Amino acid sequence: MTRLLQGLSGAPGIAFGTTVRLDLPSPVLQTALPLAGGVMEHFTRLQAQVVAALQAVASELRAEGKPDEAAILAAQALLANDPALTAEVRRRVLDEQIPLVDAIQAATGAMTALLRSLDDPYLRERAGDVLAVGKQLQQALSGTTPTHTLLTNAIVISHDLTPLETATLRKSGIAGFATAGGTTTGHVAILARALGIPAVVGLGEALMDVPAGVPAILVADSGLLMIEPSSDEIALYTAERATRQAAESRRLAVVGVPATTRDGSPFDLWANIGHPSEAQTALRYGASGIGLLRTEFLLLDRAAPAGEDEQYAAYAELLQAMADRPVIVRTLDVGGDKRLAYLPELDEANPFLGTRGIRWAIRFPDMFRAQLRALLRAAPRGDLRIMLPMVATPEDVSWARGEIEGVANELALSGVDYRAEVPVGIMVETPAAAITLDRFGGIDFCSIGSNDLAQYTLAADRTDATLVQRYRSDDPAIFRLLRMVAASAARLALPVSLCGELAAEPQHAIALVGLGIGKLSMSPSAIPQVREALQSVSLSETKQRAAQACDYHQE
Amino acid sequence: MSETHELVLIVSHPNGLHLRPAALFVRTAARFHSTITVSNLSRVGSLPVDAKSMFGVMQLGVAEGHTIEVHSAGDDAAAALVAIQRLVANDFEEQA
Repeated sequence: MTRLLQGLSGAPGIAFGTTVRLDLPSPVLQTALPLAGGVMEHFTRLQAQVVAALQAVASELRAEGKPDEAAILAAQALLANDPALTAEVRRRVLDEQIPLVDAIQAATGAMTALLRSLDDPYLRERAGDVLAVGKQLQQALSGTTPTHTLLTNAIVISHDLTPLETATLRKSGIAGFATAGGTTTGHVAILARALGIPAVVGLGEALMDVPAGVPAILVADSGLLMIEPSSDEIALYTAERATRQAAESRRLAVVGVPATTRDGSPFDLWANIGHPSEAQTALRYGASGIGLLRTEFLLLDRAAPAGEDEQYAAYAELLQAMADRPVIVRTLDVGGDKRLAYLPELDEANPFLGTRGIRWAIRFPDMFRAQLRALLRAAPRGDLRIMLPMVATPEDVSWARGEIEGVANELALSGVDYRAEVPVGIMVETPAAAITLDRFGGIDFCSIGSNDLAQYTLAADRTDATLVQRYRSDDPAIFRLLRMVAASAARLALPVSLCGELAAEPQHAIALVGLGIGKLSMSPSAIPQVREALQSVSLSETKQRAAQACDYHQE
Repeated sequence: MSETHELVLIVSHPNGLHLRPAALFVRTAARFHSTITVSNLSRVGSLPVDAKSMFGVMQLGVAEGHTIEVHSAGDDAAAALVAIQRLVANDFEEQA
């Protein structure tokens, strides 16, 4: 009997595979596990098991002509069997008398911390490999995960995933993600969409009862997880997936055809990305620019903030890849649900209403200045634009303008190559900015951050899965506010774009164009279907759709 | 019969001793009985690590152009250094 779990669509697609549990069982259970033979002998067996699993997948990948991916797994196999790891675990088990599971945790934790503290970004990334190896050893110990299925055709089941885990898993060729928590605009969903991996989020606690190692289908568009599907269901969704793939290649074929509505009215589709390396993906899906580069990802998962030079290299790489297409870089947006381990933890009752975005920059200006220096230095390489997050008042902008001027003066004195006349815009994500856009003199563009604007307008936490289903970002309240922003922008002759997930939904994208918001930025993989939808309508149809969106809730 | 040898090499692989080159380095070292350690002379305060440990070699943070010092002690110490020297000199091209 098939078991169905309903969640929210995190990233589109249909995935077939075997469930793999990413969450570890509680340590209490594990310490009670009886061990045959000595603890270290058992650890040696676990190492051998993990090494064999990793090597098996590595040779599979080599056979598939993916030597780079294979090398990663082969290196992890060496790590799993590393004498340094063995010594660390032995010391903890024998000298400190702590349980094996904790010893593995502590040893890999210490090794990870050491790698993260190095001033080499590549090696800091390798910390993820050590962490992954530690997890695999712990999973082998608990027996929850058949390690041979860990990396291929896995439908990863987890309570929730950190951005680090999601990003790490992308390298392992998994089939899909299913999480109990999370929302359509959470980091897991955003990353999964960028990586083109199907994901269902917000499945609730019932997900945690799903065992590992059972066949499953992830119908991610409908937010559905099917456990132990029947052969009929497998046939049905196999056919469905083939149809979708054909449609997808048809859409990719129109990449490069001018983006206009049926009656010739132009629109621009840009990509939201979290790392410069995603530029190629954005271009492949036909993005004509980067409407949002989130820069937190350059700073997360490390022991210290990226220095100016490292940031400069990243921005320069992106501008080069985008070859004079617009690239909007959002300055650091920490605070809210995005915390950086090495920054002071603020004691805030409401972090989303607290020191985040530009407010963080004002409070801790050093990192903001380093970022501005890196941006102005990279600016000669392409069409760079700087966007300020969480702006609520004109004073926020004038402060930032002052900082940019200060940084430009410093750069002028230091004699390095830079460009000071970079367009500066704001992210319209507070109702205050939306309502009083006309007060903001001295900005060159604005981009509506519909995820946060909806959260603040509806007063509903977007990380709360129970709330987002009731208080949706396509509520007429949001569309009316967007209509207001579009009208103000038109009066001010201010370029306006939208970079929230609202743009990725074809029906909503049509309404947005109807409101006069013709520059839409979204996850790269959403671009083809939005393009197809917009090309099939006339401008008057988009206006009609916009009017409907402002009035009633169309179900 | 035990002997001790030392060798100083410059790593010219564009990725330094990163993942794949590091793995080859470790595998090469692991073929020998001798105790082999390696340190990164281009990083201040870098301590010698076990050349047979992937983690150890990784944490040296050897980038392109860095100078490493390899130390070996044991009955096949000289042969080990010859193999490592050849690997580094060939820019980590996989040996047939």
